[in-house]
Amino acid sequence: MPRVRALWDAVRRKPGLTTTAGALVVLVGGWLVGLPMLLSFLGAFALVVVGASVVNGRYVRRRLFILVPTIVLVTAFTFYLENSRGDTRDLAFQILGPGGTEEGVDQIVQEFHLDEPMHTRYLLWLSDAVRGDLGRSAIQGQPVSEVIANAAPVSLQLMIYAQVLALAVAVPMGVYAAYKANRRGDRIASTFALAALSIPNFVLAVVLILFFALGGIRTGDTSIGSTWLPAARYVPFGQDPVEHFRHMALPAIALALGQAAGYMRILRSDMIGTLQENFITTAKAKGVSDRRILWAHALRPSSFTLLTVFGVNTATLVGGALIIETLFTLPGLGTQLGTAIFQKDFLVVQGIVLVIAVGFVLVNFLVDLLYAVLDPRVRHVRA
Amino acid sequence: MIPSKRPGDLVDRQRPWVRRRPWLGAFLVLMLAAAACGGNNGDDDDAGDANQDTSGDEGEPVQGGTLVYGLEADTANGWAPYRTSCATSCYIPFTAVSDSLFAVNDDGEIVPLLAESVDHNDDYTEWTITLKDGIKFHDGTPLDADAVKFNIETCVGSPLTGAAYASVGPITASGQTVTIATKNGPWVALPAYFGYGACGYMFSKDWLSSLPDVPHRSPNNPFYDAALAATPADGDPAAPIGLGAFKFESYEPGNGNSFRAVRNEDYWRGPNGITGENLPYLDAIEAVASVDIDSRANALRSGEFDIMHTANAETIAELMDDDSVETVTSDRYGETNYIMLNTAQGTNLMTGAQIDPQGANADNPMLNLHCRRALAHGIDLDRLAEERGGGISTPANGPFPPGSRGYLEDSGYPAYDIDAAQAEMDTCLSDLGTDSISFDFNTTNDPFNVETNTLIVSMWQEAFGDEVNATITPIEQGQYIGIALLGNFDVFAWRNHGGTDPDQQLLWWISAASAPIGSQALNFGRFSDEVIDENLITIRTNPDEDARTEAAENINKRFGEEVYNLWTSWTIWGISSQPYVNDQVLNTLPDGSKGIELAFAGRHQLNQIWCDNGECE
Repeated sequence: MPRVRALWDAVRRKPGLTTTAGALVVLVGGWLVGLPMLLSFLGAFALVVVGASVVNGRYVRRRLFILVPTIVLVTAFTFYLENSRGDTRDLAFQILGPGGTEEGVDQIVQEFHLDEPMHTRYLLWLSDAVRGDLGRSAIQGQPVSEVIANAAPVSLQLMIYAQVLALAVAVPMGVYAAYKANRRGDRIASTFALAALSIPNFVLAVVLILFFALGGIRTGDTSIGSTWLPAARYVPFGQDPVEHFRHMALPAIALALGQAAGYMRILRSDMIGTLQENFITTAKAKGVSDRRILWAHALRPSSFTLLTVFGVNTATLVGGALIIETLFTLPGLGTQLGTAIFQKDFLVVQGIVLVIAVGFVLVNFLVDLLYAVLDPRVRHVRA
Repeated sequence: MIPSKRPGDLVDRQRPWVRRRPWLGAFLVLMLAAAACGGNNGDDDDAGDANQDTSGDEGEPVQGGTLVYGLEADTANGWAPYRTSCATSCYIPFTAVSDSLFAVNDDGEIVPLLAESVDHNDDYTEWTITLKDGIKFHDGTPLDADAVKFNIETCVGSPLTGAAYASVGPITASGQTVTIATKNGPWVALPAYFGYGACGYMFSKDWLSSLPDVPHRSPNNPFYDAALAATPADGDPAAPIGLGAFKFESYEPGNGNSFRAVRNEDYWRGPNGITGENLPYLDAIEAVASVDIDSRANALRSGEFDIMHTANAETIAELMDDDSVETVTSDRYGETNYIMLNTAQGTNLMTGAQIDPQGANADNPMLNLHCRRALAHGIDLDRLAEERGGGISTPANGPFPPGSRGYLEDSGYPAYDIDAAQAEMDTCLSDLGTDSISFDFNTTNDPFNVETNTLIVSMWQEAFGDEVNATITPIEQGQYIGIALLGNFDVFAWRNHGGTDPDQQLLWWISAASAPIGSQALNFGRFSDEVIDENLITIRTNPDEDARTEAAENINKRFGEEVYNLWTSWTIWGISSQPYVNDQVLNTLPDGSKGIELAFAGRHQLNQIWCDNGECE
């Protein structure tokens, strides 16, 4: 009991640090014991929510209260878009494909409740969805939850690698550019960032494939490029970790570079503002080193906009990765969504949109919580 | 078969000059056409020689290795033949896990494979198939007459495949002998329907009968079996149990996912089998769906795929130029690319029903023969082949490619001729009492197809100016076949009609298959033509080979006269592989004779592929 007490005290004293550490332990531990990735994520998410509740329970409850109607609205709108086109028997015929009979259409109409009014169908679908039953894909013949469970880890991994890579590039560059504001270092960094922002990720992907997978350009006996990395396919981490990272490298870089450029510019801009603040001048007057001022004093208060954009981008990356996943033949949510749209496999579309919408809302909820965890000022003002 | 740089060599390793010198490419096309025309008598000797040269060139086969195959799509929805609209990419896994009752030899003849022999009565109304003894499915159950009967019944009773097997009558099974009686008279080419089509492939009866939607479980189906319907329907259609060289191991649908099958140690053509052969050579096959053609080709070039297929002529041409991979191409017994015209009007000659009772197609200018002929004269097929066919596709003049029964060097189909086109258009406009015609031109939303058909429209604009207003309307692939089935179109880009025997086209062209617009019909263009009907029936019922060939040629000519479709090119398929992959398309039959290699729109065998040193990497 004293140990539990001590742990609880630690959480109360340093809620951000302890819950983040706990979330990481859950993620790593989950992977080590073979826990499904989605479950690990949910566990880590719950820990962060607990941490935030300790800091400011009322604030967390308020955000949670908004969370539910947001998800209902998003799913209702998606359901409407998917189901509002054409006659329901046409929809049933499309589900059956060539060779579909009137008898088959009747069966599909009954199975998918297509003869019910729209709102009834939505409520039936929602009640099944909250119990984990998202229906069965008419084209693939699998439960939609299984389709998502198979595809989600690929997209999540891609998203995480891309974001980690983007931050790893953006934060040092952003700090450096702010420190050297309007000087040559800043101008070079900003030019690179602008160039990276201007190139669509699918163009970048093609260029990366050319130079890092296909040997690049050859002029006479000289060639510029290599065949270091694979151009396609997915290898699960558990199957071969080295190959996994080799296969994910190019798609992650293709996604990350544009993100990194955006993050760098945001951080630079906020940090230049922070560096004009009085507390920075005070720190300088006290003789604190530039490095300490930048990393220990200025970075944290400069990272709120970055955090907001990071949250928004994290979820949109899943949808935005559609082309990247297709280009690299990765069986992720983006690929599944694209295929399902073309095949009119509307239950899969609805299921994936639900997952993306819930993911989007949850990540942004998490970002809101992190404001409070990260910054005592926000914690107290909002309290 | 497309000749490669080395005469008689099917595998093309170096052809950079094809792409770099357009005039030379055009010359090559002419040469290819000339070479192809040489096979008009159906012997196809050149192709046969070419295939011979590739076999055994690459040393002694070595066992081992996992072959990763890049597929153009994941087109199966479950793997039971009766429920699968099998496209080329679906046949790769199919061929891995099962074999068919009959095979096709290098002369295009149907020969027994799982069957030991096949015989018929004098008037071709009863066929007797005797099966080889000692073949087992992957679940250990034997391939016997009962299993084959059940397999055939699932296809006859299925709403998807039933139309093709409507002439199958009562089936009896005894020991290793299956007897099929026909309905509606003689059926001289019945074995072809159990050759390379999906329903020719045999699967375990235990597995088929455990599937939830097997026709025998449906009370309204003629094959309804109450006892079977009472058993648990716990079979998984995505986990096929066949008798092929490879046993199903796993399947995950969708782009980027794969179908994996491992060596069947008890394969009937293996060391423990009945033929004394040593197949297969590979340990496993992993077929990965990679929809985007550039991604697929990149994956091959970067070594992620060991082998891939494509029908994209531009990519085939690029891969033929690429020294780092080996490419095999073929249009043998392949499909024809064409523009299907909706000619629904009048009375169905066979059923007596009105084909367009609501007048839905009454305003379609394609009802007028002169309009159809004008559009045909207005398409420059050579330019189309050069610009959209990578310089390697061949302009088509009918539904039967060179080497197929029914092919004619001159089918009477309107050739590119601007003056003739304008003359026909003048008559068309005069007949219709208008100064221009308008129609929707549907295509799939694949960018390559949209661009190709846009080029055709631009040719019409060059030829006719404002007199032709064609609106390209791309449609999602998922909806595409459904629209054709219901006849809700004016003009429709399409690809079909591959096969060794013209009898297999009966269900697409016979008047009886031309239902009113709004009802499903396999005669999508809904023409009802007495000459075509008569010749199709001759092909089905007359055993005289010359008479059947003449009938097929008559059909070809009739299409040329009536222009129900605008033929564009014969589909070419390419199989590209790493240099260490050998005998990519080799097909030696159990008796040592040569089976057909790459044919039927990208189809080929997998059980004889092997990799250097038994390692595919």
